[in-house]
Amino acid sequence: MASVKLQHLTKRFRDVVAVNDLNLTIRDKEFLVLVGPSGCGKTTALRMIAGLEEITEGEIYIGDRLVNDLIPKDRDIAMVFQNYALYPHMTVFDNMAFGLKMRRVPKEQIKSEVDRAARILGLGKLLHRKPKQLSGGQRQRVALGRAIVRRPQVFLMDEPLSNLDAKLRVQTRAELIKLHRELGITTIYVTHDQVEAMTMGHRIAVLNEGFMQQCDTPLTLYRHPANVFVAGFIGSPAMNFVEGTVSMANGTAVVELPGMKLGFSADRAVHLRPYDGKKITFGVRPEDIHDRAISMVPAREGNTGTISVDVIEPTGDRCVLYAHAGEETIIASISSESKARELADLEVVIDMDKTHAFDPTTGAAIFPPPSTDEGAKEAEESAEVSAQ
Amino acid sequence: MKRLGCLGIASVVGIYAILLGYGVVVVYPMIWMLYTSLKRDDAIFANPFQLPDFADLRWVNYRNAWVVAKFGEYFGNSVLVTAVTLLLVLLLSSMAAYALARFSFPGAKPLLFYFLAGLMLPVQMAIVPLFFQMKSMGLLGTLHGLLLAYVASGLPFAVFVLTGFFRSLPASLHESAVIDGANELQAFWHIMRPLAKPGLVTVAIFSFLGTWNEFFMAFIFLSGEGATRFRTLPLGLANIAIVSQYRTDWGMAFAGLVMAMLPALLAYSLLQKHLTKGITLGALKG
Repeated sequence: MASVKLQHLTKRFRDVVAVNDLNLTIRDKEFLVLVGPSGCGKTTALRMIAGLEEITEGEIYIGDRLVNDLIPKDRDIAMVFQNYALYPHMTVFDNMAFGLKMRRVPKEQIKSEVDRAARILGLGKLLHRKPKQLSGGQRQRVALGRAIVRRPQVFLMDEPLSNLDAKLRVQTRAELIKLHRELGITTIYVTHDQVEAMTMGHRIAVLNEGFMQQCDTPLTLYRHPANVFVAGFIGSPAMNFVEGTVSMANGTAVVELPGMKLGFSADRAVHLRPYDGKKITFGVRPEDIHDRAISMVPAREGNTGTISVDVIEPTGDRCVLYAHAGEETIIASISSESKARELADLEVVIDMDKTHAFDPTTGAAIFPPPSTDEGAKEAEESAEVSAQ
Repeated sequence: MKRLGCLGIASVVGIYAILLGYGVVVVYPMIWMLYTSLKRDDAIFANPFQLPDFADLRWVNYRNAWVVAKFGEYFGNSVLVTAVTLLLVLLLSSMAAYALARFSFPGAKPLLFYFLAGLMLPVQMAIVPLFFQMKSMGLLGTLHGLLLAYVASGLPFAVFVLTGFFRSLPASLHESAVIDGANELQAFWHIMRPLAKPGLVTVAIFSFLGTWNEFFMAFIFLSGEGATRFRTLPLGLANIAIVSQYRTDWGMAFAGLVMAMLPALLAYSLLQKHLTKGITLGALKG
């Protein structure tokens, strides 16, 4: 096992910068998820670590070794591809054994290693089948088997679950987490699915347009996003953003939004002082907006407002409300016990301690993460945050 | 519905009639050749289309063709030339096509066009300069000279077909092999080459038929007196025709034709599944 260190990693394809000055340390045995929308540079970064893509600038260290100029096979990594890339003309056994054969491992050892991997992944009865005779989930497991059989220092996974149906994806997600716990191999996992990222990663690095936006634990990203992009990307349904004007009075701050005036507590108001009389981007997650009639968060002056409900989508224990306040669209996720009705107004309470404020020009978060937060502490230790 | 059914049956019958007619046109000459090779010369001339006298099948025609007309020797030469040509064309074209399809390097496109240009130019156009070139290199009247010409003329088509094949294979397979620890040659040999099998079979059949039946270049390059022992089957057949101007042994000539035809027919019927698969795959994904 080994750590992976990316220093000032940059990749240019002619005029396009796919990865821009990426600095990131993946700790030994860590499960790190690279997440971002299509074209954000996450797969390019992974391919550079694998040695499949040339590095334009920067260094990659696996353990203490600088691997920039090493060919893939000398980097001691294994990769699981999105389409699995199983060799169609070989049996499951041969697929898994290929890497060991290339490394001239003795036959008996190959057999025992493949058997071990097959046992871990439940592939014992499929060893003599060809990939086309397997289901999607089985193929995925063979691809994993091919990776673990070599006991590499680092696992690289490029959206390995995206070809599976929804149910199987959830199941395999849990299996992957279990597998990582058992093997303890440093893993870098690429996905565009924020739910996958949140559920699987020890830490998540969010990328956009080649820049790393934030790298931290899932909960820290959720609670204290570093900028508007991360705030909007992490969480489902996505965070609501509304432009509002700040006014300071007696040490407290009030942000005026369409249809509501919201007040921040004194400790947060301090950070809004430079924005007195100016606009900010106010952010609130749908799940932090509550129906006033049944809210656990007590209503008081400065945390209530009215929204006009357009559509209600029941999802079981929650209801997703598509509403508007003035011209702004608001999405709220409220308890299904609510009596909210479509095309009617609803009194809401906003959990102000969980709201966010962003600089409208730079998009950076105005409130710093609280120093007592465990995740934030961790972030200070190792994650290098670079807001675009 | 009933009317439509009748029309459907009529069209099926029509299609079968056309296919049957086409089948007869293609297959009958071969059958005719086969039974004519077992007839006496006078019987061939008396009634060319009549079946042979089964009480007097002239198997001796085959023995004569094999020994007297030296078809055994020609057959051996043809097998040697075709086998070596096939081997070299497959090896060289698959490696060239793989490189052209998988790697981007300066001059890759012009190089591919250079290969493809070979498809545009008929060999007859190049035969005179080629003749003098072979002569100056001392390759005239030798089997390896002929081999060289065959391999060179077989490469353009093979590279064309296989480049399309290798392009249609997912790049991640190659990448996966490289990460698994294979070098470029091993990735090519163990992973990409077996996957291009339909393409390789297509190339093999076309190269086989082209080389096995090739007459023109063999006639030009094996023209000298000393080269008679290197004659291939098509040259041998032509020789019978030339020699028979004065004393015709048509039964023997037909026996020779059957011997020349059988390997090609056998190869085609054994590999035809791969051939159609190869052609469609190349066409769709190339």
